Parts: sequence; C-alpha cells; structure tokens
Amino acid sequence: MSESTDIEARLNSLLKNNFVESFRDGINKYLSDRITIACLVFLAILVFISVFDQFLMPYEHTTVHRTPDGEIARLESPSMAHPLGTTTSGEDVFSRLLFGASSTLLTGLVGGLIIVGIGLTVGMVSGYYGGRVDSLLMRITDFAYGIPIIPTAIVLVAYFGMGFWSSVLIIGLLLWRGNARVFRSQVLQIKEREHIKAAKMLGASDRYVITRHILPNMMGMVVLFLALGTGITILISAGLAFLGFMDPYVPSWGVMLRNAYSSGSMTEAWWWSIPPGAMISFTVLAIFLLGRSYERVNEEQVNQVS
Amino acid sequence: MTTNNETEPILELRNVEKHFEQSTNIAETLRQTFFGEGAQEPVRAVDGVNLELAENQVHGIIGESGCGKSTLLLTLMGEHEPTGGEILYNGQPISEFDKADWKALRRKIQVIFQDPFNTMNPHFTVRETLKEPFKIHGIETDEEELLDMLETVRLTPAEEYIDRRESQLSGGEKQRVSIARALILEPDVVLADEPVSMLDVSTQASILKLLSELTEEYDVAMFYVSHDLSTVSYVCDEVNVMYLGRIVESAPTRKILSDPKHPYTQALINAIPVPDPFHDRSWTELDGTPGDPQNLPSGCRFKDRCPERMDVCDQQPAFEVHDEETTHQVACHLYDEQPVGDSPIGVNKTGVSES
Repeated sequence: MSESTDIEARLNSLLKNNFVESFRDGINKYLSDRITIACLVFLAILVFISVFDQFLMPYEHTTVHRTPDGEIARLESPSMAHPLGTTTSGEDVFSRLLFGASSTLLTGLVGGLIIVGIGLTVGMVSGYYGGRVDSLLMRITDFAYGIPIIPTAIVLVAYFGMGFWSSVLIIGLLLWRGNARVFRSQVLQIKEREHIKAAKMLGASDRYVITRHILPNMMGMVVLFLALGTGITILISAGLAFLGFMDPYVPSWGVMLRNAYSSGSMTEAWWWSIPPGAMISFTVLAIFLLGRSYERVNEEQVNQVS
Repeated sequence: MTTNNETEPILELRNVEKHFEQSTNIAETLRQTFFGEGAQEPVRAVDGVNLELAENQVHGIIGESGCGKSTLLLTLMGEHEPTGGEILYNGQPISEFDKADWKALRRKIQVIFQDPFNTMNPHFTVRETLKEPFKIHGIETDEEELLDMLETVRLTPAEEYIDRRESQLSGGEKQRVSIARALILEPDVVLADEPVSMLDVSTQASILKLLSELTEEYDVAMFYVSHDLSTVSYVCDEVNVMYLGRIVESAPTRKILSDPKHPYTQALINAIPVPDPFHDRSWTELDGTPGDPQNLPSGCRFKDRCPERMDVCDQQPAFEVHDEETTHQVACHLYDEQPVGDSPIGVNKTGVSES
C-alpha cells in the first residue's frame, strides 16, 4: 500500500540519493535569501581582509605620519592619502581598521567555540544521563549564572594579565552557562523520541546514540549558538577593551574605540570613533543572521516534502 | 543462554512487580524523621503479574489508561528494574544477565512503539533506519536484504521508499518502517506498545493484518499492548485483561470475546463500538474511576466499581483456571468453586488476605 506515489516524488527521491546534489540543494537554499548573501559577502570580505591585511593596508598601523612641515599629522580629517583620517598620534585610521579585523574575528570565533564547547558538553551530559550528574552540573551552572561578567572579567584579566588569549579564555569560561541550559533542555526533549528509544532497545551504546541520534538533531541549534557566542564574545571583548582591560598592543576595534575615547576627541574625530564601532555592529549582525539562516536551511532540509 | 525445548515458554513473567517509590521533598523527609510518620505508600503500577509467552504466540495485554500495561512493557524492555518477581528469557532469569547477555537479548527482543511520527530519526533515510540494527550489532548487510524487508512490510516499490526520509512518509508508512526495523534482525519476541492507536482507523486494520501475518511468517512471539479490545482479535491468540496492576482475566481471544467472565472484561467488551445505530445493546454500567494505585483497597481491586459486588470481595480473589480445556483463567469470586459467603472455609480457600 503506497500512500503517495507520483512521478515527481520518485524523481526527487532519486535526486536526493546523490550526495553532491543534496549538498548543492542546501547551498541553493542558502543563497535563495538575499540578506544571507549580503552577510556572507560581508564576512567573506572580512576574512579576506584578516588574512591579507599586510598587503591591503596602505601603511603600517603604527607608522606615525607627518605633515609636509614636519609636524605629526594629528587628527587629520579624511583625505586621499588617509581615507579615514589620522589619530591623535598621527597613525592612519584606515590601516588600523583593516589590521583590527583579524584580532576581532579571532577573538569572536575562539570565544564562541569555547562557549559552545563547554555549554554543549555540560548540557549533553546533564540532559542525557540525568540524576545526580544532572543535579550537580545544573547547580554549577546556576552558580555560573550568579557571576557578573564584566566585573569578574576585569578582576580575572587584572589577575592573569592582559594577554590576548587569556582575555578570550576568560570570556569563554564565563559565558557557557546559558548554552548549557538550552542544550540540556534540547537533549531532554530529543532523548524521549522513539527513534532514540528504539536505538537503545537495540542495544546501542550511549556514544552511538549521542553522535548519531542526538547531535545531528541539534546541529541547527549548535550552529546558531556558535554564531550567538561569537557575536557576544566580540561585543564583550570590545566592552572590556573600551574599559581598558584588553591588550592595548593588539589594536582590535574595541581597542581603537578605547583609544579614540581616551584621546578626548571622540566627538570631533568621528572618522576615528565611528568606523570601528560600526564594524563591530555589522560583524556581529552578519554572524547572527548567518546562524539564523543556517538553522532555517537545516530545518527545511529535514522537513522537505517532495 | 541455553536453547529451550518446545514446551518451555520463551518469555516468562513470575509474579513481576514494579512499585515506584514516591519521591519525597525535604519537608516530607523532616516530617518523617521528627514526627515518626511513615513513608508514603509506593505506587503499585504492576503488582504480581504472571504471564507465559510461548514461541510464535501473540499475547494481548488490554487495560485502560493507568492500569500498568505500559509499565509492564517497559519492565520487559529492561527500562525499569522490577521491584519483585522474575522475568525469564528461555528459562534464564534476566536479572542475572551480564552486559554481553543483554546485548544478545536486545537482538532477540524488539519493540514497536506507539508514536509513528517520532519513530525515525529525521536525518535518516529509510535505508539508514533499517541498517541501524545491523550496525549496532556489527552484522554485515546488503541492499538486497533491506529491499526484501521493505517488500515484506508492503512498502512497494521498495527502491523508491528506501531513499525517503521521515517527512516523506505517511503515518501508516512510518509504522511499517518501524515494523520492518523490529523484524529485520529476526527476533524471538516483539513487544508492541499500542502500535496502531495513533493511526487512522482505515490504516489500523491494514497494519494489524500485516502484524498478524508477519508474526506467523517470522515465527516471532509478541506481546501486544493496547487499550482497545476491538483490535486484539486481529492479532492475538490470547488476551490478558489488566486492571490496576493485576491481570484479572486471561483466555484465548475467541473465548474471551464470546464468553467474558470477569465483570470488568464484560464491561470492556460491552464498550466496543458497534457501527450500527439500531443495534440493540446493553450499555456499560461502570461508574467511577479506577482506584489510586497508591492507596489500593484490600481484596479485589475492582470491587468499588463492580456491579456484582459481594462481601467476599474484601478478600483478594485467586487467579484460577476456570475452564481446563481452554485455559480460561479469571480472578473473581463469582467463579469460586464453592458458593461464596456460605462458610469461612470457602473464603479462606480462595481469599489470600492482603496486608
């Protein structure tokens, strides 16, 4: 008894058989959305800039420029030579903006990976095994919830020193808590599904059930939370940089904002303060939107009705 | 594990009990410690069930919501540890099984679940779903075998279905896939937990017919759990009626449908819908709700709703063979050998007083 047999379905299922086809299908679904394309292009350019910044920067980011009469070119407004003007110490803002891309992106990505890595592990173990393990891990998570992020990060950064990696690590170690909760609730929901009970009844190991049945059904959410974690890490490290608790020698966009602010000329030198701020906002926005779009495509691929 | 001879049941339940302790909070614990109040009574979900499943036999377990039939099935699956009694597989108590034995047992006992809409991993195709049992048990398989199985559960053309995903199948088709998954390792026993209760009535009949054909074809024994007595005649050789954790009547399907003994079974059979508006029927006269499995009355558990209630019902009725020929068993004082209530001896004979 076949309840739906039309030629189209048959053709479609034949097409689905082909992995390359189904991959192409997924990519096409991605690109069907114009906002997604814009985000992808924006991030691709950022990655390109991060990798090739040495070749793209018109000047070294630390070069101090001078006016023809030998004075340091302080706070020059945008011109052909300096598209985004100069800082109070005569450095080229445009070069510094390009140079800051890589450290900002790296901060976000590493932070996001730490957040999702810890959050997913804690959530999975907690939700899957339950019982005492669950109670213990969730109490630890509750405790983590009580930690105020910025003050604690400031204290820890002050204690461990203002290295680039230590700051990222501290942010990651403080922010996994929300992820753990969400992933745990997802696992609790998914593990009651009958295909998981059936696999367990067949004698499947916990590892098999987790890797083959639970994780694939959470992938959309994991990628979304990776995007959110990346964005939040960028924002918080920018905040820490603005407060002066990030390595000032790694001129991320947050550090640029800080420098512009502490120079006292933030409002007049708009070319110095607005571009890094805008870049932070746009980057975080683009990452969020991409994560959302991944979630959408992932759902559509699973629920596709031919 | 030893092989069984012809007469030995493949799966045997001896006085199986599953009681759930009520979880207590801190206030409760304190009260118990300081005021000497006893702990709460456990919920007696399954309370002394004896069943024997012979090879190639299909046993129905029928009962209303909360009677313990699902708990019984979960206990059989090994999801719950029984709090009392024994489950024997081929004469071996499964409580003594080690890890390797369990893995072997998992291959021999398969489950068909109630909800067809969650039965497949949405990321899996039918092929991957059917391959999974082989993969878990490290057995080689080829495409032919999978296609054959799909043909067997009437998902034809099999070549077309094998690449479909969950979202491309209807409820009935999904249930066919889960039947295929349950049978593909050629198990000895299948536990079916209300396999058709979430399907359309028109689909129900075809799935039941398929199940009954396949249990014949694959020489597999089955426990068929359902709340719907009208479906059992399709598949079951024997029917056990369960009420509040106990089996109250057990007989071959035909016998129980034509000649129910226990007042509860009679009420259930009366409640089967008849698609004839002019059919003259006596309506079920069952009041009240099933008791609370935490505060069970002593004696017969059905006594508070029973239209035939007698004084002797305060004693627990024995589960007795009523009809030697057909192994019709019933636990009801109405069928006591001696007229009840006449002499205390008669009561003692049948009544096992309950603490």
